[in-house]
Amino acid sequence: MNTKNSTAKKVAFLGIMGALAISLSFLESLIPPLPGVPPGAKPGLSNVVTMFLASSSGAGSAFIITILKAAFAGITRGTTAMLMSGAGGVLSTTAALLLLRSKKLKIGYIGIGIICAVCHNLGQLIVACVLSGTWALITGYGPILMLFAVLTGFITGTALRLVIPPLEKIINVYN
Amino acid sequence: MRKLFSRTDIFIIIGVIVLSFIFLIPNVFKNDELIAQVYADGEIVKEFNLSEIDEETVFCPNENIVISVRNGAIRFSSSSCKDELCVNSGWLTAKGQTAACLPQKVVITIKGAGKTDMITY
Repeated sequence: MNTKNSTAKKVAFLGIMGALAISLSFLESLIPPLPGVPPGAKPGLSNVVTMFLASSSGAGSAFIITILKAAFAGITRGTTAMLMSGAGGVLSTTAALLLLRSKKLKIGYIGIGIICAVCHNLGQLIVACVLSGTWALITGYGPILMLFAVLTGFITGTALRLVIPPLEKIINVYN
Repeated sequence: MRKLFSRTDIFIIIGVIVLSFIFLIPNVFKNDELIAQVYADGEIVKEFNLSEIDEETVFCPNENIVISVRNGAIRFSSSSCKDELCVNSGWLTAKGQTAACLPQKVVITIKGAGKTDMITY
């Protein structure tokens, strides 16, 4: 196979990753509200895709998929969902890039997952505050969302560790 | 390859949990009267003293939203939006609890009576 990096290969690869992220976020939207879980809270499985791109592909592709996810949320669930997905996504992708690229910090995948989940919730909460004009949401919702982020961080961090080896094989095919 | 779980992660988990409890403190150290506030477009449109309400009543900040109030509790009981996250939040009964309907820009929150929240305002 031609090992030269072509635009077509890059587009095909991003297409696969975009489809993966969108289908995961659609899958999550099917989860019914559970007792004891804050409404709107999700395990964040589609963030595994952007975290993987931040770790193994590059900042450009990670942000492209983050924005694609926000656009998908916008088309299917409206402007509010798009802004919240976008703000949370950009913050958590930035955090993932900084943490995964740093060689000094000895953070495990679970720690990275937790920080990304906290950043994602923070971005969404800030948008929610701006949209509703009610800053009381930060103390009202913030603590519960942060505690929940520890749980979702465990899930996404573990999932990321598991999917990196097989997905890097796909990257090698497309690069 | 990076580890799945490292010692730094333990500090991160402790840090996040401690931080969330620090955020909770202003909600806890308040007096016992439950005051519910209804915000629409960021303005307080209605306040209820939940401790003094005897019968269940409803309040509509606009034509799309119904808020129910009873002794010690407030909730969104119906909304025109399709996901109804606000309705699924259920009854709010404790200080600091908040439910929001973002499509309608309506937020209900319970605060302690009398004192001003020093962190949020």
